[in-house]
Amino acid sequence: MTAPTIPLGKAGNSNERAIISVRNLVKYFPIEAGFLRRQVGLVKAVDDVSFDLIEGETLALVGESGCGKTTTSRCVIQALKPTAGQVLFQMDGTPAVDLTQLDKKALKVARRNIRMIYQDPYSSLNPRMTLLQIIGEPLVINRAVKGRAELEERVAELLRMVRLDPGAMNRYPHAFSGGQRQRIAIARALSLSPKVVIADEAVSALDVSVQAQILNLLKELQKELGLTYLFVAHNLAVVKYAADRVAVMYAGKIVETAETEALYITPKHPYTEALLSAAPNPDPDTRNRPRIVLTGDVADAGNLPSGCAFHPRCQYAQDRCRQETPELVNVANAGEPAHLSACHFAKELELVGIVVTAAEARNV
Amino acid sequence: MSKVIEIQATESGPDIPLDQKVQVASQWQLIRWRFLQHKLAVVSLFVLGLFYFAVIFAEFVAPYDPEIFIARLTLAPPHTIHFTDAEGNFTIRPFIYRQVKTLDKVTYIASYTEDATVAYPLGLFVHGDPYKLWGLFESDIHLFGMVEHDEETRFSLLGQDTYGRDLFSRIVYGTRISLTIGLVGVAMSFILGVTIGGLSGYLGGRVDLIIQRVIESLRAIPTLPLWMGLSVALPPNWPLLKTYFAIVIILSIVGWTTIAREVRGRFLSLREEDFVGAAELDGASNLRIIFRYLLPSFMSFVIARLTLAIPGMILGETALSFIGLGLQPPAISWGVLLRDAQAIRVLALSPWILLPAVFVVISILAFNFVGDGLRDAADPYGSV
Repeated sequence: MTAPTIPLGKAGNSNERAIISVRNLVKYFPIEAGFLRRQVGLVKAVDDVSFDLIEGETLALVGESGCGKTTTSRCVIQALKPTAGQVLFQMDGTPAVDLTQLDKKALKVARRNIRMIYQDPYSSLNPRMTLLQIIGEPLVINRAVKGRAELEERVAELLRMVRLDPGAMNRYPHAFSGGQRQRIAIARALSLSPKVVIADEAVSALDVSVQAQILNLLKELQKELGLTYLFVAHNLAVVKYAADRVAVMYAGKIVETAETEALYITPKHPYTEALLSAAPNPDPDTRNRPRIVLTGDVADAGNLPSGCAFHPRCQYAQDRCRQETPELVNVANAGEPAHLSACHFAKELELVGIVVTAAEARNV
Repeated sequence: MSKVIEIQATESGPDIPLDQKVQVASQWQLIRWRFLQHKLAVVSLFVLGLFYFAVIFAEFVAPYDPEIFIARLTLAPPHTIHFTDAEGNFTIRPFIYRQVKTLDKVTYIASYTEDATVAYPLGLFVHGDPYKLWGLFESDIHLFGMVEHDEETRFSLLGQDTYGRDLFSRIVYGTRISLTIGLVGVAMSFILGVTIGGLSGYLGGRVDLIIQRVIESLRAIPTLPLWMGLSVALPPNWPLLKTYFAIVIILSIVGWTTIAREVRGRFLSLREEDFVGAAELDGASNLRIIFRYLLPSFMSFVIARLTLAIPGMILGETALSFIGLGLQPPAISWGVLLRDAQAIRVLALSPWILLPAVFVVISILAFNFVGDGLRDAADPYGSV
């Protein structure tokens, strides 16, 4: 497994700095069976994933359920110990540290700067604690405040930040709707003034109308606080709106990375093309576009196909795809931002992205 | 219920004033509100309240000393309480007539008839047999009884037993053992279950494996033979208190396994909850997670589960005492009282001897209903 030498961020713009660099991240889960729990196999949930998270950007990890996007995000924050690989975290003016090598104490310090928002705001808030306790918990644990007055002050400030009434801090989560709860979860994530926020499907459990509110809130907070987001999602419409760059995952590997617009208009991997064609299209003018219906299931991470993991479902598959595993390489034209694809025929294939309507084109 | 629904259904901004009480209500307040809507459970709780009042103040509630027998009153039936005398005059104060025993010359069956010429008025807070409440306070005031205490006759509310002891008084004293054995037993099961189940769920791996297999083995043994085997091993000359606790331990040996399983399951599922994961990422210590997140989350379930476990204990004690392997007379428990009902002759002629069984049934039903209500109320955040 060779470390990619090609740029993983945007095209060599010198003022861009990777705040988190994931290198050759691997996470295998052993399959155990029988009374003695013997290992009978391995689920390759994340298999050699590398990417850079540039300070101030929003990078989206997308893919079907079971493709390893959530596992990747959990490995970044070390909620799961990766099997191999590095997660380099670099704050301003400090040397990069490899999160996978940190002991518990150092990790606790690092995690003040990398926080997580969960998918389901109904299960991510302890129903037995008031807002003050929930949002204040990280502050109390990390001894970031002195005394109750300061705690209340900080929590009130956080509640205002997520556009909730600070007077509600003595209420319990059951008094709030899904969207409000997700705001509470965001306030909790922001309580320690982090640099990076990992949003694991942060809006997929919400109503569509509420999704937009939360996305806008996240965008505003990003601007105000200079946050960097790692956005895990499966909804391409949400990703298109929220993300600066997109990494598409399939069967534990990143198969394509590009800036959002480039990826949506000119996908360079057949899987991305299929994903895009499956996204619901609200525009009646283009509803007759061809749909690519994938047959079969997502590749079994415990028993991956040979060669390119996508080949059994790929309509362009050739013999080479069955034998050779494609590398993630830059396929962008010279001078353009990096566009990485892990397809043998990325340069030859003419893949269809989303059709940009005239109205949309004006806005772009 | 409805209160919670309304609030969740209201998709609103943060400023709309809602029922302030619900929004700042803690878990226990929500549980109480939900519980109060389960009418049967509330009634049952009231019944249990009465029973436990009798447990605490048995000497006061029972009209007579449970050990004093009057040979003349052997197997006397319950009295009929009268409000009108022979001439049809109504009195507010209820009274009873004297019972006269006659012996059938052919069958030797004793039968009791009322002698309408001698009436005994009844009253509340009357003087009767002297007692020492909790062994501390001497008194002779009883909740109810005949206004004039008479050594030779009795107000027989539920009849007299085979030795001429007052059955109601004995049932009241019986609650002491029968209803506390469940509580003490469940408390023991609880301590064992939460500790072992918690370890099993929290540590996982090999410890979990071993504990689970032990639980399975224990549960595979049929309960009654196990209890019988263990109680036969108790030395018969042990004092009452020692036997009592020995029986409790015997009953808990099986009881804790269910609770341990429950606790382990909750630990496992709660560890997967996002809010526990979030607390871990916050840097919360293991102890903080257990005491601030895990325990409060399943405590309500455990309490509901425990309430439902009490009837099993009560039945266990009753069954053991009934077959003569549990508590022995002179100890008084409902099971011991029911031993008198083993003789078909007694049953056929004096069916009131079976009345302790009615109290067993009522208390068990009450515990079940309360447990039901608690279980429904235990998770006020779940789907309604």
